[in-house]
Amino acid sequence: MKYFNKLGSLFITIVIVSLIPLAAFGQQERYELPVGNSVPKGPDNAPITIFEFLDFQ
Amino acid sequence: MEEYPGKIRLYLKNYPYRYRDYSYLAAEALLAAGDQGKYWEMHDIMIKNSPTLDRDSLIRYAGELKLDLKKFTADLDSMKHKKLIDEDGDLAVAMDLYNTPTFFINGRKVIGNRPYEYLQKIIEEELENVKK
Repeated sequence: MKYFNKLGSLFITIVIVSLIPLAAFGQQERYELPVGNSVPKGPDNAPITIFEFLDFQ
Repeated sequence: MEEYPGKIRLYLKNYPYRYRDYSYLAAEALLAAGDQGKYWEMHDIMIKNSPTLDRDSLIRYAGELKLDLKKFTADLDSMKHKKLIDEDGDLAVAMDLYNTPTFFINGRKVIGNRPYEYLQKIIEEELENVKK
């Protein structure tokens, strides 16, 4: 029985450890950008902020 | 933005591609128009008319927006906003960006031209996140 308990613990540990990188991978990186000299469009309390790097041509 | 009134705040960062003839000039035109209170109007007119963004065309657009053409042309020719444009470009390089457009939607990077539905999906997800 002890043997099976140990095996069970080991199995659970392996599952948890293997899920950590998956969870990290699923979480997309978020970047912080300085506003700098940009002229914003839209209210300053808007829930979504979009920065667009653009080339007009 | 029209689809999400009051929900989005948009900032532009100039990242003119160095090998295109009028990219840099267009960025100058945007900021020169901004000095006269017509930043977004100039943005819209240049997007509408791209890639026709040579000097004469830009001055014509400025005329359509009723800008002070003497000042606008002087700003354009002196590259008055070079420092500001280069700051944006330096930021892009520091962030390893090589494509335009590149978007950051609440910090989430989206590279290149994507279908509107793709951007919409991210916006919807972010709106959901705010609700939580």
